Amino acid sequence: MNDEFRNLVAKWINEDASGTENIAEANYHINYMDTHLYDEYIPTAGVQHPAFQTRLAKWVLAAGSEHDQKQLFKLASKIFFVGEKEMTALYYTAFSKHILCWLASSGAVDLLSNTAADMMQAKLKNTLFTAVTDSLDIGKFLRLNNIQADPRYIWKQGASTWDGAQFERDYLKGRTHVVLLEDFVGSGDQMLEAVIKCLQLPSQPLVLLCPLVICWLGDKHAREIAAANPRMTYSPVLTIDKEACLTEQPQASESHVFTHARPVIAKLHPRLRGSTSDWQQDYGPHGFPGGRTHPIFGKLTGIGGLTVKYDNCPDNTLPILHRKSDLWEPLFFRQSRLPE
Amino acid sequence: MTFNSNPFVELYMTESISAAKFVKLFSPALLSETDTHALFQSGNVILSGLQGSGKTALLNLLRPEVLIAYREAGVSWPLPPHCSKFISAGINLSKSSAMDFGERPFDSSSVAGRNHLMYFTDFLNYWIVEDLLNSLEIINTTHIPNVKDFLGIDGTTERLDEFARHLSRLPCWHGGLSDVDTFSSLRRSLVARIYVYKDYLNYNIDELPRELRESKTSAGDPISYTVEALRKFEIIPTELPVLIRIDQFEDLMGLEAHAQGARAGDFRKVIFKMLGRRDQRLSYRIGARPYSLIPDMKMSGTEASIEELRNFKTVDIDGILQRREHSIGPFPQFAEDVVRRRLEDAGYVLPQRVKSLLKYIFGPKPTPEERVNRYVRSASAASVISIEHSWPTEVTRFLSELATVEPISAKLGEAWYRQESQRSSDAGALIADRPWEGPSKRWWKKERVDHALLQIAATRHQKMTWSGASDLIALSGGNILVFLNVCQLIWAEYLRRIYSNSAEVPHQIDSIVQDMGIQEASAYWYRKMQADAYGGDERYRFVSTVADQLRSRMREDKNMSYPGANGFSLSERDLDKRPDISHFLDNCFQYGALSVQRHTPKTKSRGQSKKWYLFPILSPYFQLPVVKTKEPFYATVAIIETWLQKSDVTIRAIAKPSAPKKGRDSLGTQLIFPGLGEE
Repeated sequence: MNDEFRNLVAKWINEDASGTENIAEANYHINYMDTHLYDEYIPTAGVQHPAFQTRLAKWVLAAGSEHDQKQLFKLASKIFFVGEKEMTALYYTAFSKHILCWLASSGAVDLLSNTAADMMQAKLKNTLFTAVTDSLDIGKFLRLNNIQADPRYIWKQGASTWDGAQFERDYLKGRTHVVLLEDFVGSGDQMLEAVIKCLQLPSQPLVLLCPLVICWLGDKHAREIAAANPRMTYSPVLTIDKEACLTEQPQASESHVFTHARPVIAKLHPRLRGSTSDWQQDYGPHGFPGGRTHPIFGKLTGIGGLTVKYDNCPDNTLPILHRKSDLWEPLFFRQSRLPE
Repeated sequence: MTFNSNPFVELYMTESISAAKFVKLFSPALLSETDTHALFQSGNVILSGLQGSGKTALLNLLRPEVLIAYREAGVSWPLPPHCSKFISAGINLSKSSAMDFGERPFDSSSVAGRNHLMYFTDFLNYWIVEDLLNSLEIINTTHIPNVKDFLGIDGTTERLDEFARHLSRLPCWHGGLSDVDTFSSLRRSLVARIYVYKDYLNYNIDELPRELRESKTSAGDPISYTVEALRKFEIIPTELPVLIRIDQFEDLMGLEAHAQGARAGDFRKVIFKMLGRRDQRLSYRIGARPYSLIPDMKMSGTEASIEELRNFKTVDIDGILQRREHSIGPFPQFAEDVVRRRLEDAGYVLPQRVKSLLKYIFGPKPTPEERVNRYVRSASAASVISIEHSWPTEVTRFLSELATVEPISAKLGEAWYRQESQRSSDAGALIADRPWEGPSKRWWKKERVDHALLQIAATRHQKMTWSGASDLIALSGGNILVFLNVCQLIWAEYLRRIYSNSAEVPHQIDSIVQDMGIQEASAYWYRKMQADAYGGDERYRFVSTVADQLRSRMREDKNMSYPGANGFSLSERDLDKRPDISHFLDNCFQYGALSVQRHTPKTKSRGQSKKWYLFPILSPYFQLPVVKTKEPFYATVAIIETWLQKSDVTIRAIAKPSAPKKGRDSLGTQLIFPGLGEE
């Protein structure tokens, strides 16, 4: 199978002598990522999963027509893979750039003064570090950045028994600054729920929302909430623009790869559902939160993301990349918490 | 042992491995060239070569650990007896702390702006002397029998201690080595001084100690006195050559650009000063890329220059490895040996009774007919030829029918008819005999096959393909790093297709697999050019323009009158009038963007000329043939200026350079190097 697939890629490269389709570049990029990063993907690390090149061959060849196969191959070159080291770098940057800048500016710390270091230490002690979900490893974040902090809070875990007064008593303990961290944000549903609770606390702390990676839809929602709440600062480390996603509606400046792949992923989507059609998390070809209605933001469309994190694939990434059914083998199998 | 890993994944292997593994992996094929023997005998040598040409591997052969490892492994020393006895020490400028001299300015109590050079010189002296004593100790304490005796080393503790006391009191140290009473304490003092420099450069101390500031040493002085003292105390024999290696010389250019107060050439001139001492006690080995060799070779603090033959000899590794006029050169043998060693080291079982391992793995070069089959499907074969309306029907019909069965012959027939019909009205009557296939047209055809393939591939909107051992050798341009990179990417593509636990070496890897790896390597080397220092971006754009221009000419030349137009020629007379253009083209050559050859042009009035081609590995990316057929495109300075403008390259007007130093060939050396003209 690999041989058949690689010969097909060779044929596409040779047919693209003028380079207009960038097939050779797509091939180099995919191979480079395979060599350096794709082995890190945890859900396919087990022996039951074939190596990336075999998964890629199966995935592309499953498309059926050569035209569709080529579009899938080109789409694979647009995947944004966040490896373990990259994630660690994001943990560092969140603190060294975003959090420290926020603390310095919110407390009017003169960084050139002799007492700046002491003042920043005082600010840090006055700050509660929290994670929106346990997807962000708050312990790792604190260890990497040498922050001594206790207690630590995860908003998702406390959601079912939420009590603002108890939170103030047990966690905030008179602190005036709260940082909300999250490793990856798609539409921002969970993140904004936590932010709103935090903003409604009686002691009115200053709030920093600092996602490490956030997609265009979550970014839009976060900006809207921040604009309406002067106590909240929104400072994302990395934002994935709409142009980097294969959205339901074409973007004016989108890559021709997305334009050509859009009908292909729509055509193949029924196979992702499988023969039993009991896929509970089917949000359409462009992924979560396609087709859902949010109480504040109204009807939502699929994000169409192409992000794959080393530890799992987010659900707002295109399902064609991660969904496994009896009729479809994914490229980066997603390990879901909820029943699929 | 897994055979699903790439035996070529590590490209710079001989730089990082143990001495024992070096013995296994180092290819002595280069050493069969007697030019390289100068490295192992007395006399200063500049070992010049492009990135990855194998300079460091050759210099590492001088290390005492390697000498011992050969004996330990029972492997014969790969050189004749007169090149087997020496003791060596040295410094790798990029791996030592020498590059940190740009990290922090030095005090300004003496000559303004020159202190960094004095401290750098002192650091070099201490480092090299310490390494020389380390080499001595390695040989002196080895458990491998006969090494000491073979070299004549006699280092008893008493003798070494006496030597240490004597050396430390010599005036060449300016009092810098006090409290030395044993060999061990001498080494500790040397190391301590090196660490003071490291501490200063890393801002661990506020200032250099006064004792250090007042005991700076002169370029090469302590090294020479150390060697003299080792001989005086009969620790090493008088006749044993002492070879001092200084590798990664080109990195000093980066230091000159970065260090506060430094001018272009400053740090390199320190090394030239060491060479200029003409010291009979020891010999220097400088590993350098060609672009780093300053043309006038002035020594630090003086207007005097060093000269080839008088002060040093150049061993041009690129020149040695490249194909010559009437021979293929040693590179194919070198490449074959390197591949064999890599595969053996990876645990592969090599095929028996195989004349050429490269041919076994990569196969022969596909015939033109096989190659054309990849560009043309039979149904569309007729479209490979371009017919003119004015041509007689029998010509049109014959060529069209021929194209469906032998497209390459039809394409050559088209070119033949275009040429012949301009000379004779009988050409049409002869076409059925296919004169271009006859013995009298053997060379005419041979010279045009690649040209025809280019035109056919272009007509069919297909990329030209490369495969076979001879293509790999040709595309590598005599550079072992390029060759290994091509092997690496072909092997990677091979492994993408199969999962093999077999220890058998693959036989004739599919030509499609090879082409994929070669195309990837070509794109890599082109992209890499952009990242090169000192004008890489400009060379990147210029090469693209040159390639586009040459390819357009070859595509449009339907008569195939200029099959050698994948290169361009300029007369040396014209180049002499435009040193700026000459300098830019020389730089393109010295950074591995273009290759250059002298040649005698078709028109004698042009005089002696040079012809340039893309560096071979770039040819697949730009879809140009790699073969160098005679008669390149005869360009003019005005045409090159147009290409430079198209590439958005602005070249600096520079004065006509002085004549090359005695014995130096201006073809292989740089006229002006970046930044030096601003001095």
